[in-house]
Amino acid sequence: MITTGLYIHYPFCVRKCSYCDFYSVPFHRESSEAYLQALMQELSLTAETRRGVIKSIYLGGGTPSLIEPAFIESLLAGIQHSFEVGPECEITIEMNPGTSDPDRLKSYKRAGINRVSLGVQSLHNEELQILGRVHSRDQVLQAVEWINQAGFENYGLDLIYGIPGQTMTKWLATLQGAADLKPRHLSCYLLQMENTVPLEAALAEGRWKRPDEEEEADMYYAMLSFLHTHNYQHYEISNFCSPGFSCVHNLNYWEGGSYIGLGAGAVSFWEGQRYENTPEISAYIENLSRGAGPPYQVLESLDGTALAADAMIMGLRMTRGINITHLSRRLGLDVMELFHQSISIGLEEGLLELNGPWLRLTQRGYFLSNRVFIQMLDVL
Amino acid sequence: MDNIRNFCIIAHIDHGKSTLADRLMEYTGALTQREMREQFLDTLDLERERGITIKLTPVRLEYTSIAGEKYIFNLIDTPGHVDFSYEVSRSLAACDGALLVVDASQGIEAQTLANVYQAMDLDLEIIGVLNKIDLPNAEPERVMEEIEDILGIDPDEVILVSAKLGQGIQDVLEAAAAKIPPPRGEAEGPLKALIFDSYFDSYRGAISYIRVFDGQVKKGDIIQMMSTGREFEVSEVGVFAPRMKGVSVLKAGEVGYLAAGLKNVLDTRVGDTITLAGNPAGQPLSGYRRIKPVVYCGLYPVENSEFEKLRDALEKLRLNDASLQFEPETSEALGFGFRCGFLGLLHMEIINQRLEREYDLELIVTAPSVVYKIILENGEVRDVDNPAHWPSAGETREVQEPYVQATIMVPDEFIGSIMELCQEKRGTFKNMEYLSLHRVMLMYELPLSEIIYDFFDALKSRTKGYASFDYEIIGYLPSDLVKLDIMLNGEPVDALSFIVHKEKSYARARLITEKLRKIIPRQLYEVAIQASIGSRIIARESVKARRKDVLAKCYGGDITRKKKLLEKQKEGKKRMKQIGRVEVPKETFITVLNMDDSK
Repeated sequence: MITTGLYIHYPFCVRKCSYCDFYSVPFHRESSEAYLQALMQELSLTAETRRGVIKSIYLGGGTPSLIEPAFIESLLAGIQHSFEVGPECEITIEMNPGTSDPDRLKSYKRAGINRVSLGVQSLHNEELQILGRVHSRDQVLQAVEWINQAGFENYGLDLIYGIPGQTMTKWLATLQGAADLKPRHLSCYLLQMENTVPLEAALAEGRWKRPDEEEEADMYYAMLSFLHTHNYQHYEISNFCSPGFSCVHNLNYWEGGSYIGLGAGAVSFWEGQRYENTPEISAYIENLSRGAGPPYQVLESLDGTALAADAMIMGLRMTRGINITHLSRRLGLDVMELFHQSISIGLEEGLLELNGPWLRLTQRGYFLSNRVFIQMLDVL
Repeated sequence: MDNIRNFCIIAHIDHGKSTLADRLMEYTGALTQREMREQFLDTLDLERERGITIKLTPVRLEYTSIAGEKYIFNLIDTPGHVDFSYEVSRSLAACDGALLVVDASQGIEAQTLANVYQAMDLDLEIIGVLNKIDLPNAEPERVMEEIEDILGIDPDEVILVSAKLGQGIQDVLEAAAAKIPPPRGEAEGPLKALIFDSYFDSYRGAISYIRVFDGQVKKGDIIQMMSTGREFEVSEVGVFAPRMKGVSVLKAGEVGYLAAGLKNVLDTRVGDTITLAGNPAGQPLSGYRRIKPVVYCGLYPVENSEFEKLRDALEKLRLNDASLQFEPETSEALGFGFRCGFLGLLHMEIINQRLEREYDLELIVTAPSVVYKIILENGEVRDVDNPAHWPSAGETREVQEPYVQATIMVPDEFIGSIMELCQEKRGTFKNMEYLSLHRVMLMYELPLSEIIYDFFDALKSRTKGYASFDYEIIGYLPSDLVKLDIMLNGEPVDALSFIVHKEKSYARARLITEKLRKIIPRQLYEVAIQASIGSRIIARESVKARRKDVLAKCYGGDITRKKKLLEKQKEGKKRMKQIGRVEVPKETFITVLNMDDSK
């Protein structure tokens, strides 16, 4: 039986962040409850058609830490009941500082959650304000303390750089503050926004200036060396961990594994097809309440070559790269031959390197990786 | 023949010529309401979009006067842009009269004048029409005065019209019947027919639009083109009613079309005279000249593999446009393409757009160039229309460039800024005349190379749109010109070289290198941009190396969308041209001549 990841989407938020284009709506008790009911319904419907061993569960959003522990408990029980759950299954909940308390965290732990991903973003209050976050620096420190108190050994922090007004000094201070909290995992993202988000409009008005390309690249490479000296492994373009604590759930995406997405707007990847549930909460609830599956659309169907291009684009995001031999065997085609030209260009440009069967991005290649990926699309 | 009236409408651009033609057709029933769409005679999409006429389209109207007399009117619409002035002159030659349309709010403009003088030279009866009298800012009295003072037309004879509202249309038709003389000609004499336009029909071959002066022509006749002596058998003659309709014969005085299985429009040259092979006329009608392009540029496919497709497309366009010239050329930077000659910049722009739209080609257009005359040390005179063929300084004794006489009309408050502009463009002041209390006509001699690109735009923006402008080429004058080369990473890019006056070379070089810095995207490695004259570098800039090209975040839920972003980026890259190791956007090459810094 195949192994799979399970993603569960909870679209409610206390407030929308100024850089966010995810589908989310303001928290509302009744609709949240109706939504969670529908989620349970979708879970049992899905289990009828998709069989697999679950190796990771990820509760994302939105702000899933708004969900009552009692529900988490029945949700995880429901999953146990419907699917075979692997022994070491990683079960993550996303959390925003200021949306939880020690009791709730302890209850989550008891319910079976074994990993917390905390949306810190910055340790400077003025930057948090620009990003439209509801929390402060102090609330971050407190949240981490409570996470520790609750007994979570494995937790990660999300950080953002390239924030309008941010300087290298401020970025390094945030990194230092984050390292001091000793998380097992760090995701550090360059701020990249859709044109439609409020922060872009504010930038267009000239209220703040964002760091330029040079500064952003400098921040990225400063981060690589900072985290290296603090014993974090760089394992994906934007992800770092203590040895042995890479995120199982996300690795599955980059390795091209199958995944099931539950909830409004959630995406599944199953037998070469990507599906997306309707992002409309009301339509989602309405369909499931009468026993039907949620409306969905097929985003793409991938055949051999397209699967290979996907595997390259996703796989090269990992610093260890791709094992060409293994990938060729898995896809039943000669990856080296198929991507010969694209790989040669990447090698020649110094953005890729080849070490035995392992093809990977170079240091310079990480922040110029689109250039490499675009080449990979040439085979389509 | 007595009841035929052949006339055209002449006007400055936007004065309502095409709208008036529409109303005349509507009034005489040549088109039913259902068939009417705005500006029927402008058949090319581009014409309709831009509100200008490029190709001539004749139409035949049947009119019964108030007195009960039946007339046949042949109305010939004319292009309103200076690029096509030869075509205007040929369509005027096919007429016996002209409706002169003047905008009642604008007054006489540069092109009105140019066209009217041509019509007067050809002894056409001119009927003044004051259009747009419905506009709130119309000043009929002032404009009538201008018409009287400048053109000597009796204001009492001028017809007041609102083509938009359909007012005064019958008066125009009555005046055409009463004042325009019927065609004169020898019905029994040997055939003399003037070709005033031609177009290519994929079924019938090249079709000539003709005005028969003497004799007659019918299906089966063997005709002879007097400029080339080539002979063809007539397969069809007809009239425009308003769509093409076959008739048995076209007689002296009539306007219509003629098909003779011609494979190429080059066989039916505008201005040529058609006669019968069996009974040829002694002398052709006067005025035919071969039209020579004044502006040249290189056209290259972005994808080198599309060279043949481009050749086919150019050949097809030439079937409808005998003034388009092209021959293959090679550029080190751009590969295989064509050097193309045009009547002017509008003509060039139109051809370029038609190639991209109708033939789905992605093109690189190099900076337009005029034709320079270079006198070499050995006395040889060379025509150079491509900076790549510019001889070295050591070989050159003298360089000459084409000059024009420009006529500019403006309200007098703008005289200062116009003079300043002409000065910047190396112009020589010739004359200034008051047209009325506050309107002047300025005459300047200017190098053609200075006006082909952005002169008209500059003129418009400095005069709030009030200036009008026309020019004619007057000949060649010596000039201190140099060739400016552009290098990317030390490699000269032939397609970016251009010719500039020595005094302006430093400023231009700085402007261009700065522009290139802005337009060339960051690459994997730093790109050095240099401008040089001979081996001397006179300006430099650099494009910093790309450092960020990354999607920081990519997970299961958004892989599809992120891949679309990559696809889009890939498409963008495809529209780039690779020169050595540098990728440049295809607009780069035309940018070089665009000196308007705001763009």
